Amino acid sequence: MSSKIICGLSLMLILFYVVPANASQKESTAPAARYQKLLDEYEEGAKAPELAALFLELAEQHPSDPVAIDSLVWVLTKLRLRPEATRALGLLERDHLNDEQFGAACRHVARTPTVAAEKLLRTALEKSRNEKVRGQACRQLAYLLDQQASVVDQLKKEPESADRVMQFYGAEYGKHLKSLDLEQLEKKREQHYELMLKSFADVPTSDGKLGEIAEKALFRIRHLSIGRVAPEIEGEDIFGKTFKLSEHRGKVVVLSFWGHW
Amino acid sequence: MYPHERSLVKRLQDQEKRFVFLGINSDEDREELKKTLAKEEITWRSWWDQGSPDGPIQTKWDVTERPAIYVLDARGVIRFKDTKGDELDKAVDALLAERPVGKP
Repeated sequence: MSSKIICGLSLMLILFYVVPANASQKESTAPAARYQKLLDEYEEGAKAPELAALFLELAEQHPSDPVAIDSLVWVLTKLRLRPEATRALGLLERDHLNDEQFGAACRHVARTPTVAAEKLLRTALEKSRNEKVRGQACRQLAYLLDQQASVVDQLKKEPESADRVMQFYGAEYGKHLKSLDLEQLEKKREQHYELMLKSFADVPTSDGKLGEIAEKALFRIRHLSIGRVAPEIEGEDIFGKTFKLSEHRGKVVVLSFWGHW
Repeated sequence: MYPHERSLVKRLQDQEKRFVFLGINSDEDREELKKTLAKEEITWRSWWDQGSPDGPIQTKWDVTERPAIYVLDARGVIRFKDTKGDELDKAVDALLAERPVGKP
């Protein structure tokens, strides 16, 4: 009984000291520390929608600090279907269009299912003064068009998947996807990969130069898509004897990539 | 993964002029692989892709997930991708039912 009271009292004492200390430090604490503290609170169980306003506030108050973009990306990835994500997109456009760090954030923008995300990438491609940002925006637009094309293709082939699509992308963006034309999307996607190859080939990214990524994607589109003639395969079999895929022209062929890992 | 492929190959074994099942294998050790062929009764031919999932054939074909399946028609055109199980049987049968190349 008495231990319970002591416990309660000490908790009150702790709260008494911790809460005001935090409030008064809020403005003076370094942005990196504030960012880390918000991450910690999330780890400890605070809900993303409750923290979003604080992440947005941090990004808005310190646009030139590296944690600004990290904070906005956090909001994009955790609350992709909510208005907070749209607000984060707005701040990225207003404060970070020329910021090199925005280049790497483009992939998160492309995975935010709103029309605003696509518009932001287009603005970055057209208006950013930073070449790396323009290149990454181009790549992520190509990725986005690729994704849209595969969803539209799926909706065409399996109309019963519409409910799942709506649930995953939200009603508004789902409706937008339904209105898109597959042929147009595929054409635009190819144009963006071509632009990557022509204008941004030497831009480095964490997974290689944009030119190499574009070449691979264009090969996949032009030679590995349904309706295209399969590329030649030539090599040794398991017993060391060489053979070619084209030797089997005239037959229906199943190719199976297999192995143990 | 093998039982279904085995049954497809077995079912169509008398159509060897019109159908072939080919593998691209990424295993490192060819001697171990030969044992697997015997043990699992894998009768179809496979290219050995230099002993790595990053081998030249898989790199060219941009294979990142396995098993990956392509079904080609008699003209060498890719007609189906990542078709599995009964769907694979149906896809192959549909292509075999198409008119032979060059014949009206």
